[in-house]
Amino acid sequence: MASPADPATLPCSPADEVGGLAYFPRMLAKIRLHAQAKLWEDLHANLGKGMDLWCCGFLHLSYEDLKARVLEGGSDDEILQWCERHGRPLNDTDKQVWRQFTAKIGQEDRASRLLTKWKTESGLADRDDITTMGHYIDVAEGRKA
Amino acid sequence: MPAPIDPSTLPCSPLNEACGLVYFPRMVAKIRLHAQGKLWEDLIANLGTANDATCCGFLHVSHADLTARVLEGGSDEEIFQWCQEHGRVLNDMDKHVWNNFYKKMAWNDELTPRLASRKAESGLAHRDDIITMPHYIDVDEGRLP
Repeated sequence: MASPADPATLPCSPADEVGGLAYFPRMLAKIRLHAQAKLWEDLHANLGKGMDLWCCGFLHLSYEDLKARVLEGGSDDEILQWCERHGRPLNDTDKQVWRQFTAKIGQEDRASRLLTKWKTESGLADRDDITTMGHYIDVAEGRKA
Repeated sequence: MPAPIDPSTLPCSPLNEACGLVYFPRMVAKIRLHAQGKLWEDLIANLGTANDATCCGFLHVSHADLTARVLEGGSDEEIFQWCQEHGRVLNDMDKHVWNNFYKKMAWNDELTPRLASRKAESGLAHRDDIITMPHYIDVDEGRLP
């Protein structure tokens, strides 16, 4: 496995939530860290792609618009409220569906092959217990064993 | 195992799609069969609750309003369009999120105990291959072995 990333360069867990919306805090943290030139370089290539793109699609916003708003400043809660005004409002079911969706990404879906590739690249190919992208990210970034 | 179900009392598979959204045709079919007094009695208790409530929540329409619209007549696609006009517009990402959420329902989540309970009630407790609710429904209703 590659050497651990400097914790100061890492966003929070993909399972973290703001206003009941999973992954959202991680996406914002990546934008802020990147703007400060502190983001772990392994996360640069997928910035605005992958789960960022899916989250923005679900919010009915463009990543560029969200990024501009994040860089204006404000808390995660304030930015989520802005998203709901400029994208679309989310009800509790939306958040529940999104939470389950993100928690299971990598389980027999279009991301499964990528998960296998990433596990191999990280020396985690033998970890059969890692079946989701969220779990992989938490292990790869040192939040879980 | 209980006696076979009369196929004329069954809606379609939960994995059937209308306008790219899984489960929607089943929810609509259940409403039509119930109005005709034909719906399989095991499905009556959950009419408008459970998966129906989650799907309606995601569409931002009430099950009562949807029922009224379905009983006015029209195709699944026409009713889906009505949902888009009276609830909220779904983009391709919304459908992707919903479809993956639904297809993996009960797989390592809060519905896993409920799935185990239903499998036991149907004499399927030994079927370790059934790990999602839609798979269980298709087996229970005889569409899959």
